[in-house]
Amino acid sequence: MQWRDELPLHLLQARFQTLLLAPEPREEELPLSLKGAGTLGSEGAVNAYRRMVRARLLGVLRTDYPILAQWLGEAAFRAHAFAYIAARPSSSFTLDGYGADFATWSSSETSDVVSAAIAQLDRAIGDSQEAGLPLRSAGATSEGEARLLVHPSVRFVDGEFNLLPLLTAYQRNAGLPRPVRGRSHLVIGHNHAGVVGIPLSGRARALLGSLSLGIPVEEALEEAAGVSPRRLERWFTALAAGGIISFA
Amino acid sequence: MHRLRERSTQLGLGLGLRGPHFEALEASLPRLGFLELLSENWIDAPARRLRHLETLLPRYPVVLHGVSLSIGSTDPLDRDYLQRLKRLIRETNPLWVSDHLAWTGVRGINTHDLLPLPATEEALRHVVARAREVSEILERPLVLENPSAYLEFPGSMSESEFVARIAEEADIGLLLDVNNIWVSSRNLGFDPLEYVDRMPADRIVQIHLAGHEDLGTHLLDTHGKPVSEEVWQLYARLVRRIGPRATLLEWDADVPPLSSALQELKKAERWLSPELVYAMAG
Repeated sequence: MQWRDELPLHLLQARFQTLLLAPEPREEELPLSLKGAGTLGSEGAVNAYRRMVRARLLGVLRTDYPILAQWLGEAAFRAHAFAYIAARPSSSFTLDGYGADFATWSSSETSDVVSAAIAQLDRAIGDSQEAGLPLRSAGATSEGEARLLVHPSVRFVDGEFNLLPLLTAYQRNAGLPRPVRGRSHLVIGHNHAGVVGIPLSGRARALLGSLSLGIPVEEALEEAAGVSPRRLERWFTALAAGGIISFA
Repeated sequence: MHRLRERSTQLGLGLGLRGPHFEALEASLPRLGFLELLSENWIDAPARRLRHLETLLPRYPVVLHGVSLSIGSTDPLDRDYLQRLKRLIRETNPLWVSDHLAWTGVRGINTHDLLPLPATEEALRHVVARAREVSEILERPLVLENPSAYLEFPGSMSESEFVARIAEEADIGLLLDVNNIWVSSRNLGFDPLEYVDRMPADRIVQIHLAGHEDLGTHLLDTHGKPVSEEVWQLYARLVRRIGPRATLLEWDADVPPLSSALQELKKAERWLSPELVYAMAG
């Protein structure tokens, strides 16, 4: 559809906005009568705005859903986020809370129950951080369908950390938590990338131990009472990235 | 407008208040002419963030700068936003309230980006009417900023004429962002000197300086780099013609330490009269 030289303002704005938010705008929808787009060209200029609009909203979702972002990987997370942006654009003057419905939307729009469960876990952690409260409900099991599983290959090593340099030599995942000082614990498991060793504090060890026994997430989280949500988020991120825990 | 302009000529140099600078600002209280608060960062802000203002508000004159007014949108004005903004005005007592000559969304959607308006008579009449209404609601001088642009819709006048006429006909102030003028001039192919020269001096109450990034195909307004030499030259030309105005450095991405931001801002002294240099003398 070719735009006339001067569309009425309300029509121009509605059409332009549709272009910015659509997952993949059709070429015929691009405004051909733009002028002065200079080195960018009409399509490039529209895409410059598309990138800015979507990058800002993507950034909010990435911040609010760090475990899901790591779990899916960059490309899949972007695709998932862009679908949400197209389906649920912001309607508020503030970006605070834009991602609040992302978890619910993920549950209703995707057949990928694992991603949906992780999104709910992210949301639960985010809510706790916002309220400044310890995590009370992981949310991941609230539907009764998704469960957090500990990989059957997991073994626990409880001991002093002088063993750590040897064991972590098998690590395949970068950016895992640094060992905590003093007596601590190590969880070792296999995943598709090889052997993974992750140092854990005593409470994280207790939490994972409960999960490995099949205790539901909400109940198991009692082992982590008093742990800051941010720290809990780091544990889950590392454990998920290392293939130590999964959702089913 | 005359009193507002007079106040602006005395303010000197200011800095946009950003989170990474809170502590350093509170600890050092550098000599600054004024602070600019991003309205959306402070509307309904949690108590722990508001505490920063307890130290800073008594020390510095403040102006508010928003991104959500959407003055050019064909949606109705967002009354909820305006009421919250008005509450913030009562709390912070700014000299003026600025936002952008742009729209951020329609049909109840907010893209959270500053989208360009066509320079048409219809858009001009629309913005003028809304700007008058907003001024009445806020009961504080309204100032609009020229945004950076990456495309231009078909229109019947140049952007500089569009901006100048809106300021005159709505009886509002202008915040002239010289970095935006440079970025848009390169992206859209107009003469930035002519643009600067056409801006009505008696309407300009504030100037923005910022950095941009050259992506090869276009310039991107990132607020993440030092001010470019071309932008300093535009600033010099503007100040030579209209005299000193409240001048503010914006730095939003890769925010450097406060000392570096102040050093960058200090460069503006080269073009300001000696009696105004007090703002950064400390």
